[in-house]
Order: sequence, then structure tokens, then C-alpha cells
Amino acid sequence: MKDFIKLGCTALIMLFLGTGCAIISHYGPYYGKVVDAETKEPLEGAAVLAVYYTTSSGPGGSLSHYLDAQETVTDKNGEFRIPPLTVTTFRVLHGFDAHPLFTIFKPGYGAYPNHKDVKPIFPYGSLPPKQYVTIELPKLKTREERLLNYGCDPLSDVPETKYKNLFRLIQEERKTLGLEPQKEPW
Amino acid sequence: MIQRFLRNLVIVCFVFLLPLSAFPYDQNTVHKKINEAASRRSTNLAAVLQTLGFDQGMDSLVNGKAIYKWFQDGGKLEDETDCRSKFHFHDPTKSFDQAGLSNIAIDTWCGNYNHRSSLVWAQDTADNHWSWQQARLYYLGALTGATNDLREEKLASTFRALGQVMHLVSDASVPAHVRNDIHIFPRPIPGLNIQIGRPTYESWAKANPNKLSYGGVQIGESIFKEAVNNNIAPVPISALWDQNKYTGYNPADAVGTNIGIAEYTNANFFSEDTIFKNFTYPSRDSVTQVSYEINDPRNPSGNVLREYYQKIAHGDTGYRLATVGFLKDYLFTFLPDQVITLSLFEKPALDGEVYGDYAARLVPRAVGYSAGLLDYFFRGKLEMAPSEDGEGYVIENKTEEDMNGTFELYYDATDNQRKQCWSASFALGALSSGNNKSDTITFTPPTDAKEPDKYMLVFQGKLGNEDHAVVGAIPCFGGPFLLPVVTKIGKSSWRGFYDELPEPRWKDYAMWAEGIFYGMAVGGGYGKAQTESGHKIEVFGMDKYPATFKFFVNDIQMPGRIWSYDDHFALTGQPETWRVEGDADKYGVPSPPSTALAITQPSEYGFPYAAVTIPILYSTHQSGYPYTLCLPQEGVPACTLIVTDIRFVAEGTDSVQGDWLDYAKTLPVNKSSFNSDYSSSVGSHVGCAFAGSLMKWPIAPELITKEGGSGSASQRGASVVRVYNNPTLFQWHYIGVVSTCEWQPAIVSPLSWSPGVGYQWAEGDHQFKHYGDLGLKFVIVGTPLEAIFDTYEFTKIEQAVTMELTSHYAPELL
Repeated sequence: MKDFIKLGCTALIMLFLGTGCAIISHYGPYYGKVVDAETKEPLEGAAVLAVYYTTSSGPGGSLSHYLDAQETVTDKNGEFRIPPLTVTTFRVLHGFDAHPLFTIFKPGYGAYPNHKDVKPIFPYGSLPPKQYVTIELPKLKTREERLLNYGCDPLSDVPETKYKNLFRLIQEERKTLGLEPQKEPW
Repeated sequence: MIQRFLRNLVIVCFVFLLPLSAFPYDQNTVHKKINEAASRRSTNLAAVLQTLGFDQGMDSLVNGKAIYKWFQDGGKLEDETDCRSKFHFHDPTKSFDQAGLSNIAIDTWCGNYNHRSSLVWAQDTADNHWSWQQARLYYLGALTGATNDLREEKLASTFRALGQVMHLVSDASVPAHVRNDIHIFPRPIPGLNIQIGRPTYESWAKANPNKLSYGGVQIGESIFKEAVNNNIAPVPISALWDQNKYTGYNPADAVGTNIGIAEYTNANFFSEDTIFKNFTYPSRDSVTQVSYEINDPRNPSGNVLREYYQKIAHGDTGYRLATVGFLKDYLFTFLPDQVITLSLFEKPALDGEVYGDYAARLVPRAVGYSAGLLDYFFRGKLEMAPSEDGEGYVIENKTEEDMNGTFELYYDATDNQRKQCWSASFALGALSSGNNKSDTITFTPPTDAKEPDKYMLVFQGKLGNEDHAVVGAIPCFGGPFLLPVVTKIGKSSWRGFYDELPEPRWKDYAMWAEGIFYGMAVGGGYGKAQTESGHKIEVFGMDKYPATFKFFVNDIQMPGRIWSYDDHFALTGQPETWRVEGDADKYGVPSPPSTALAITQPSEYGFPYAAVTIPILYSTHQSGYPYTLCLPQEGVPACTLIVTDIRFVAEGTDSVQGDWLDYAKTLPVNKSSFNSDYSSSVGSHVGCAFAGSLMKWPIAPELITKEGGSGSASQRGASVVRVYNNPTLFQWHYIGVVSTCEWQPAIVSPLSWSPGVGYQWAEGDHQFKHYGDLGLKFVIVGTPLEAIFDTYEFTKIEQAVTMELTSHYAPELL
């Protein structure tokens, strides 16, 4: 019986250390400013979305699992702040993805991190925590560019209720582009 | 004691090692983007969407979401469960039934000892609910489902399933997935938010989204003919992965875009744990040592020299295959007598630079092959038209593959149920066989049809070498003459347009158009061709950019042609299919090209046709924007444009001084003028007439004519206004506007004018809004033929436009 308990404890410890057991993690804060790449003028009303994931490993690779999301919009100075987030969960064999995936979008501008002319683009399409960043979004000049740019919302595993501002702006852009807007799911 | 310890260790290690993995592309970024880029690139998909009435193409909503999102979701959901990815491997050096991942730990972990490869998994009919075959069934449901909700649900499932198969194609461009290589690292350490272990190609791709290009390669046109006949993967899409051409010893055969993507990747790239081992190629004879100056990882502001193995032989060449192990020089210098064991000690690796070179070749291939998968799925083309004797209808196979199966005709009834009204089984030869038309078909039109003469024709059966294929088409029974003119109109990619003013712009478009015609057509440029019956094709600009454009007649690319203004090109007097494609890749635009102009010279119908998309796109900088309208003909003093299909898209963004249309509306008519200074290829255009008409703006009786750029341009405002409305053919596209334009050949030389391509902006530093595209089909009618069209008052146009804009497009404009 003792052996069994020892084995179990050892296995659990190794499981935790080696393969991961996502329980608690801290993120952020993330803050900075969004400006027009050409004029350097601040862009008010841009949606800034951070999506957090855990990862697990399957035979074919590392898999992302939606964990949480935070959203804000830039103020009149183009500034945003996503507050620190402490996430608690219990996902066996998962690890926390250290790099939340960011989306910054304002209609008519190249979206972060998808558009190649956004500067800078940080690794993983994330933003560095606790560091003031200035993101320059390029103004788009053609409808074609805008069509290829607006679909920057996250995949369907992220509930739309977590990014209402981004959703609204994307629908505005769809209208601008002459596309039928998607109905609000809430 | 020792025995117990070892026992515990074994068990614990087993648990520890379970999550071995070969990292795939990241689902949230890379797979997502590959799938979107590929789906936007598929021309057959775009055509089918248009046929099915999804006027907004990939951006149309299906079951509540934009179509491209279904493909994106499919890219992620193929990894929905941890063990599903067990079937995402394919080693092309093995037989199909042995090519999957074989690893006892994985099998035990997943409780599944089946080793299906990704190629087989994509066609699995037992356990995979998102396979190719399932996509076919979903698509059948999307065409024939009883209710609109059901059809939308099935269509969404079709796109998702295809997105999941595209994921499998993309994974075959990951070296680890085709070289049977699984790893445990890099892995996140719980609580520390850091990763340990070397990066892999896929983790590098995830970390460097700005270094990936999703442009897409063009797969070989005959790739599906190379498919291996194999019962466990019977659909020819297997050719996209593996054609059993690369055996592991013939890397010279694993090049080009007609080879399976798994074969290409296996033969030409390393995974992290198969560098110069496990596979014969690439071998040490495939490489040479080259110094590269790279950004210093320890000091990003400086550079440093690093040694790389550059691939110079045995297949694809010209990129860094691996770093040179840091012990190599030491071993050569101090242990020259043991060089033979070099490979045992040297540890070449794959760094970010190498991964960058890999990604530049593999990601576009993933996009191109995935687009090829979609093109194959939607390749079937059918038409159904009244028979010549007027006794019934004839179904025509417009595909270069035989059809043998069941043809069914459905209609939407007044109770909103889709019902079958006719069905028969027979075979049709391929398009070029001459045996591609059915006998005359008769059926009794339903009395409860919601829309008379509107049907859905569905084929199920064998299409070429694919069993259980499904093809849908919406026959047009009522149209007098317009429908055969142009079947597809591409949109433009205007990349680079703004940076180069005042250089000519029109040459930079990626262009594409196709249609069926009795005359001939122009797309993307200007040159000339002539049918036996005197019809001409004119294709501009191809002499300067022969690699940029391709011209096809009946799906056959005209070979080795250097287009020039004076070339004439003989065609038959029979209906021809044609298309002109621009090379979007050249401009890095991963979208289905393009703006197109299709023109027929006087045809059997007695007048020329034209079809264009007109990007009415206005922005800052006083920039000019190309648009194409009337194609004036020399010697024809006036022409009338009859717009039969208007797709008015979009209102604009913010503007400084009001948008163009507002501007126009607020000005006295005589000031609503536009210049054409940058019209370096010179256009004669009447664009304002269309917008003006749509916006209830009285057409300016005169617009300024001005010379500029490298040539001169002339334009005249239209003097309103005829309306052509064909409710049978274009009942969902409503109205038409006629405007007249005048061509003034006296001020332009024949070789300098372009077919109505011009650039315009308002006077002054004016900022325009983007008003989207005016997708127009119109007919240029010579003056004597005007009488054949009905004439409506302008107020009726307003009414029609108002109705349509309100319901669909831009109510805020009204």
C-alpha cells in the first residue's frame, strides 16, 4: 500500500513538473498606445483584445485551448491598458501559454498582428507585459486590402461576448465594405 | 528496493513521455491564415459561391458566420482532441498503409493502435466525421436540403470539413510530420510561464508571424492525374500528398509543384531529429558549407557570421538546410584521422534563419496545395439550357472529366421546402469530348414554385476518377442573351498602386476574368485576337509583362505567347470559354484576382458586350483610381452602356471634405468635374455617370477633358439615361443604368488608349471615401440597336436602387 502511495505521489509530482498541470497563472498588465503609422496621430476607439490559452500536447503537436480573454478600447490619446489577470483553472497535462494572442483593430487600418506593415509586431503576435508599447497601424487604401484585413477576430472557440468591441468594429467594417453584417450573438 | 525504484521510474517515465509530439503549425495563427488565404485563392470556390448566389464571396455569411471563418475554424478543429493528431503524419517513402505515425507510447496513450496516415485519414469513412467524403455528403445536403436553415448548416459543415482536410494538407508541409519525427520539446513549464527546449520549425512559425508569407504556389494543372490508385485512399486528392514517385532515393523527382507535398517536404527538408539521419536525403552530398552574416542573437544591433549547410543538389536547392555543427571545424582540425566518424559527433541544428528559409518555401506550398484541394472539390461545372429545338432542355458537362451518375432538378416551393421535380441517371462525356451534352430533357414545371424558372441542378456520381462527387448548378432558362457573355468577373488587387504615381498603374493589377462568348473578350490588358467570324480579342500590356498574364481558351493555356498590340489570334466561331489570369503571386496578393474587363466585338447578337468590375475607390492624396467603363471603339462616335448587373458595394470611411458623392451632390452640376491627369495609359471614361445615377445626382452634361500623364484622356458625362431590367435573369440584381459616352478618337492614338482605364480624382486636395466596387455587366450598344431595350424613367431607377440599397448594401447612403 505504501509503495502504491509513493508511486502515486511520485507520478503526480512528475506529472505536474514534466507534463504540466495548469492551475494558476498571472498575466500582464499590458499597456501602450495605438497610432496612425503615417501621421503618428493617436487612434481612438481601436479595439485591443488579449486571448489567453493553455496548451496541451497531442501526438501531432501542441494544441491551444481557450482560457480567457480581456478587451478594451483605446482612449482619445490612443492609449489602452489591459489590467493584470490571474487565471485559475485545473487542466491536467496542460501548460499555460505565456504569450496571449493580441488583436488590435480599427476599421480602415491594418490589424495587429496580421498586417505586415504594422510596427512593431512582437513575437507570437503578443505584447510584452509591463512595458509601454506604441503600435503603429497603417491606414489601408484599397477595398481589397481592407477585405483581407478585417477578418482578424479570433477563432470560434473564443466567445463573442468576450470581444464585443472588436466584434462591433468588425461589423462596422463589414458594412463599410458593403458586406452583410453578422448578427450580434448576445 | 532497487527493483521497486526501477519499477516506479519506468511507470513515471512512461507518464512523463506520453505527450510526445511533432509540433504542427499553430492553430490560432498559422493554420488559420493558411486556410483563409487558400480559400480566398480558390477560383473554383469563388465561382461556385457566385453561382449559388453568395454575392459577397468568401465574406458572405453562412449559418451566421462569414465563409472564410468556417475554413479557419476547420483549420483549428482538426486538432480538436489530443489524439486526433495521431493521424496527421504521412511518410511518403512508405506505402500508404504504413505511412502513418507508428509509436507504441502514442498508441497506448490514445488507446488506438491504428496507424492511418494523414492521406488516409483525409478519406476515412469510418471514424473521421470531417473527411473529404463527409464534405461531399454535407455539400449534397447543402444543395438539396429541405429547408434553408438545413442547407446553410450543411454548407457550413462542408466548409469546416474542407478546412479540416486542408489542415492535413498543410501538415504535410511540416518536415516532422512527413519524417515520422515526434518531440517532447519545447514545452511550457507550469508556473513559470517559460518554455524549455529548442524551438521547432512550427514553434518558430508561431513566434514569428510577421515572417511568413501566405502568397501560395500554383500547383501543377495535371497533379490529380498523377494520383495513385489505392483502395484505402481512392479519391485523387491523395496526389496532393503523395504520388509514390519519391521512393526515398530519387530526390531529383521531388521538385516542382506537380509532386505530392509530403514527397517534396520529406525529400528536401530536415525535421529536428532527422538531420542527416533516418532518411537518405537530404544527404551530406546535398549541401555545401556557406558563411552567412546574420543578426547577432546576443546583440540584435550587430551582425555575426554563422556557418550553414546550403542545399545545392538532390532536389530543390538554394536555401539553408541546417547550421554547421560547432564541433565540425574542431574535429577536422584536431581529429583528421577520425573524420569518418564526423557525423557521430557533429551536431548540426536548425535555427531561426533556417526556419525562415524553410517557411518561405513550405508555407506558400501549404497555401497553394490547400487551394488546389478546394479547386478540385468545386471543379464540376454543369449547365442546363433550353434545347435548340425548343422541346425541352439540355444538360451540358462543362468539366474536362466524364460524368456518370444521377442528375436531379430541385426547386423551392411556396411552402419554403426544396423539392425534387426531375431525376435521371446517365453519362456525359468531358467537355472536349464532343459528347458532353444530354439528350433533350423534359419535365413538368412545378405549379407551387416560389420563383418560376429557378432551379437547382444537382449531380451525384462519378466525376472523372472520383466516385460520389457532387456538383451543383443553377440553370438559367429565361435569359435572352446576356448570361452567356461573362460568367465570372474577378476583382482587383491594387497593391502597390499608390506608391508609384504617376507611373502607369493598370499594368500592376492582378487580373482575372472568364466567360463564355461568341465574340471574344479582354481581360486584364490589351492585345488582339480574332475569331473566324471576325471577332477580336484585345489584350493590353502583355507584351511588357508576359510572365504576368496567362490567357486560356477552353482551359488550355495559350503557349509561349508574347502578347503584343498587333497580334491577332484565331479562334473558332463557336462559343469559347476563355479567361485571362494575372499572376497575383507576383504582387504577393493572396486573393483571387482581379479586376477584369471583358469585351466582345460585334457578335452574333449584333452588338458588343462588356463586363467589368469597377473599383470605385477613393482615398487621400488626390490619387487617381482606375476604373473601367465603356470601351470605345475607334470609328464609333458614341456608345451606350446598358448596365444589367449592378453590385454596389460599400460606403466609405471618414473623409476630410466629404466623400466624392457627397461632394458631387453638393456642387452645381457644372463643377462636378473630374480630371485624368494621371491617366498615363489614357482612358476614356464615364464613371461619374454611374455613381451619379445611383446617387440621384444629375449627370453633368459636360465634364472637363484634360490631357495628362503620358497620354491624354477624354471623358464625357453621361446624358442619362436608359434602364435595362431583365427580371428573369437578374431578378436579384435589379436594375441597370444606361449612360452614354463619347469616344473621341481624334485626340488619342490607337496605340495609346486603353480600354477605358483611367484615373480620376476631384479637383483640389480632396479626400474621397471608398465606395466599394461597382460590379457591372453591361452591354455596349451601337446607336442603331438602342431600340431593342426598354426605356424607363429615371425615377424608376431611383426606386429600384433605393430598394436594393436598403435591403442589402448601404442604407446609410439613401
